[in-house]
Amino acid sequence: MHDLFLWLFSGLALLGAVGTVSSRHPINSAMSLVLTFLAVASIYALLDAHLLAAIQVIVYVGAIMLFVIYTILLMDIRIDDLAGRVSPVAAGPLVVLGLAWLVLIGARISDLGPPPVPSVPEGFGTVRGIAMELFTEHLYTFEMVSILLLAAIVGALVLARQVAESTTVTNEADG
Amino acid sequence: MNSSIPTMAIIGTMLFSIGLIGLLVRRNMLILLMCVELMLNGANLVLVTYSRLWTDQSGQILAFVVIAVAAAEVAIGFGIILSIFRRRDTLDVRRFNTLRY
Repeated sequence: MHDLFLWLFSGLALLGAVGTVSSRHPINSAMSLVLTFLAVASIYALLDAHLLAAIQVIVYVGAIMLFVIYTILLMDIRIDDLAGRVSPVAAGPLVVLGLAWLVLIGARISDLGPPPVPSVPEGFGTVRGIAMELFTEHLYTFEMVSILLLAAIVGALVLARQVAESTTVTNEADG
Repeated sequence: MNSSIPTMAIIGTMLFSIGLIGLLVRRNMLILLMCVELMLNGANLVLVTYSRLWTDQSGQILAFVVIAVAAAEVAIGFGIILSIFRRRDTLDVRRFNTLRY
């Protein structure tokens, strides 16, 4: 049962990833990316990282992708903006190189054989387990992430003000 | 469960590689940022896989940090793309070749 779900979600994740890279219109890319994020969240659940699976759905699918889709809708993209889908000179060698690299990594990992996986300790990957570790051992990491998010908020505000000012100037020039 | 750990590590690597190929090959600014998201997700998947293998939650905490960084990156990155798009009226990265506006 576990293996069946694993193969199902792995396939969906790869399908979404390929769709993201190869779609012509950004909105199709965004939708494929949502599929990948949901599949990855399911794989997290299979790995007993339950809190992380929930956070993946809430933050990635709920917040980040919503933002991406709003941005795409705001842009009013004409289809002639989308010219130059793939640079053909770069694509061939890159795909070959990427596949070769994957085969190498895959061979290396499967050479090691299936490792013995210990059973899950009490509270592993739950809210309690993560919180106990996050707020004791990794408290500085937590603080640094808060500072990063504060900086991101300030940066987003500055960008939003710039956009607002430039639109005002254009409107005045038009009028 | 034993045999699924290598599979998950390989899937994470594949997501990262596909994202990297997309980042190098595509020219649409929006899709480039989405490829970065894909790479972050691949790295996260490998982190969580090994966190399960060693039953060490530090990997999951690092994955949380990566999610926070991804959220910040999207907020700033798409703001910048939006303001460039308003000035240049294009999304083609080949057209963004000057630092002045």
